[in-house]
Amino acid sequence: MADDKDIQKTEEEYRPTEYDYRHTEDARSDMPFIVLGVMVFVALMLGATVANRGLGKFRSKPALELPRDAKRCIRDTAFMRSNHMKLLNDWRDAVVRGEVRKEKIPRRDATGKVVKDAAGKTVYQTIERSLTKTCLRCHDNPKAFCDRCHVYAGVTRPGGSLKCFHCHIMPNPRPRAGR
Amino acid sequence: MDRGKRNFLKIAGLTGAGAYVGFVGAEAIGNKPGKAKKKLALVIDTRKCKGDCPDCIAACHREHNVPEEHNPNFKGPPVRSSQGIKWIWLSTFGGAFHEQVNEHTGRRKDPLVVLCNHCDNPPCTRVCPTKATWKRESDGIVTIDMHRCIGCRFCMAACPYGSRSFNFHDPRKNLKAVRPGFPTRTIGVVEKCNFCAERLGEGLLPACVEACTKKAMSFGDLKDKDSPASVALRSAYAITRKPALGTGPEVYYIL
Amino acid sequence: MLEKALTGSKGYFAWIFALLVVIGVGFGTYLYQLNEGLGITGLNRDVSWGLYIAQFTFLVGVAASAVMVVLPYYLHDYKEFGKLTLLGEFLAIPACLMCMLFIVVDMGRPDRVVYVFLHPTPNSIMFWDTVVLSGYLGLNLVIGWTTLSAESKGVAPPRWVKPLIYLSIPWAVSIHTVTAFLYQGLPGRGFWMTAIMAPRFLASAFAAGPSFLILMVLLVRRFTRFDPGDVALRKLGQIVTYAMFVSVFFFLMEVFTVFYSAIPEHKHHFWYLFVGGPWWLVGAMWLFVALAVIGLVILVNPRTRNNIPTLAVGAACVFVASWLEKGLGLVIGGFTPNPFGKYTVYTPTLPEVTIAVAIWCIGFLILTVLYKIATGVKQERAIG
Repeated sequence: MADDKDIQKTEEEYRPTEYDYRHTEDARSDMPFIVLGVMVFVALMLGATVANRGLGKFRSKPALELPRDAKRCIRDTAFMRSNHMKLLNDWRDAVVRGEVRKEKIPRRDATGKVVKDAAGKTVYQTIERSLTKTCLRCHDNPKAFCDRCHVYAGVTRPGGSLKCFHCHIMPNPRPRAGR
Repeated sequence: MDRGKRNFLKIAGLTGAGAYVGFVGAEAIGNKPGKAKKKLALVIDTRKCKGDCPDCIAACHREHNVPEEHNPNFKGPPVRSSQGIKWIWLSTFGGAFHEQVNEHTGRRKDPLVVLCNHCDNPPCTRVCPTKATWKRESDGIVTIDMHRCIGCRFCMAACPYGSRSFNFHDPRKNLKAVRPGFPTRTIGVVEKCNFCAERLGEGLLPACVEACTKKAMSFGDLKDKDSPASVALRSAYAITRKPALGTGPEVYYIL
Repeated sequence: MLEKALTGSKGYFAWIFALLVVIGVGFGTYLYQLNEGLGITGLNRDVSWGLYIAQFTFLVGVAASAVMVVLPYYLHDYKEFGKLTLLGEFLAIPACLMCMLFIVVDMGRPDRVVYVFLHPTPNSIMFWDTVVLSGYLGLNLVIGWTTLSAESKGVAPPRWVKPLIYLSIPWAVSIHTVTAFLYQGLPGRGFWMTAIMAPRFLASAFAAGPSFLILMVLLVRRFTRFDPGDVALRKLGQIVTYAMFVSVFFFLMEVFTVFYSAIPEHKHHFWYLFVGGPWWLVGAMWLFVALAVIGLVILVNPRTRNNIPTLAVGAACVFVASWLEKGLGLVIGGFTPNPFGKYTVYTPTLPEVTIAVAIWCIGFLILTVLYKIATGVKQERAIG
């Protein structure tokens, strides 16, 4: 254990015992570490790519199972493709926090066009903001729709399931032709 | 790093911090709880309920997918009963009203039904750091947003009635059968009785009230003089648990 | 300055490696907890906070105690603490980080931690605790790093640091006050329902923190040439003595209030901790009493307090006693009995203890690195 006399040590006694790298001109000793680091980086990157089911499969689009009978969604496809999670979050907050369950949306015909009445005014219909009661009524097999696309897009790991369905209960898919 | 970049980072940091303070202020002002329009209450007549049938508990737990405490099919680490989930359950008189116990109350052997009291002034909602639990302005139900809960369990420490449970395990592992109509919960969130808000929305009575064959439970809005709960409270003397704490429980017991 | 942490003796790297091994094991255990849920801990419906939150509470105190060296030096110009302030500030940094880690591992949904900031809730004490704790961490990082880099360049610290240092003094008090408010504002928890909870927290923190600093200084001068001096150590010993006296006095005030009023709901918690609980808890609580008494006997006697080896023993007694009281008894005792008057025994499990130990090791790792840098710079300056 040190005591008071340490404070009074002279310059000579304070000479650092360890080798100080800042005084070296030669950085070659760091080379193995640099190579090792690069190798670890490459291995991790390759590993992630391979784990994502290999390089070749990236271009094959997922075969999504679309609803059998329903032809129209509550919004158009482009909107749903990019905004479905925002819509679901808005619904969630509206129902759970705002206690507003119903929503009025424009009625669409079989081609997806908004229906107008004789006076040219948009015709509305009321739907329930509900993942299980509205979305999953048509998309009755989320494993072949939500999960497949999420895995393709790399937001869910292969074989994993969406967090929604940790709580919300998946419906039993209805039998359909060609399956 | 030159001085310009440093100063830029400093100014950006300070601006961000200032904007956040404004955001917090706006959140604080915008979230003042209003007065509940309805005052939903449950009156339990312990002269009729002797705590000897499982009807209300079974109905509630089936309705809300409340997991069994010991599922023989459960795979994984064993679930201790102290880590189980309870929405409505039985307590001794001394447990629920232990400030009321004297040497003669020992005669009162019948268990009591206990559940969340849906307090007028709930301490659990006061402490929540993410506004995941609050008292609904429309009907006074103390509710939880399961999507928002971070599982800090501050509300469990704040509740003086032990009414809140935490999902120590994946609840689906402990469910024998899942009822499709109501979501299960997920690992790591807090849950409790919701006064069957989902059934009330459809014009139904809470599952426990409906299931009670002894007609021992009266449910309704205390602001409505003719609701079953108001009528029951006029007919007999009723007490609440721990009234001295000022929480204003809305579950009443007729003794 | 960071490069100072990359050179060192074999012993230094062996220590770092040992810490990393424990941290690795703890991290693996945490992944297991993430997967299985908090069911792998001893926590339950009745004792819903345990070891993790207790460590958090204790470490907030250690973090706040930096003020005990900063205040005498900057407000009272007590020169002897000149070499000590940086060690105090650098102790607060890992303590704050450990607090945050203990909060995160206690959370059921750590993936949602950002909600605390996205949905700020000023009526929740937890929100304020997050604010003051991150603020305190930031203050100490900025103050410590700026003063040290100024020292390594051989110039005076920039003038804007002074106001920050003055701000850090009340801020330190605030972090432990707010932490006490987490507990003392809850209705129906008799053990915590006491207005002197915050003063008690501060007193025990100002005993535990400086006693830990004494032990750290002794280690620092054992392994480096840097020495803040015996005078500073003895002054720290005096601070610990007063703080521990106040802390024990406050505890006895609680005992009087609870047992003279004889209100069962307040009494039962003490009974559980000191008589009725499991053997390890009752043992720990009586060990707390014994260590508090031994520590005070050593510290109150000027001869043993001023003799450095016995001072170290006294400091260790105080530190362990405070940990037993706050890092173990406070949380468990408050939750038992539960609101139904039922006694549910909480026993920390092996995975839970492993995770807690690993977080302590993360703290020690950061502390080691920071102290390595600080002593390196200070030694260099001493050479001139």
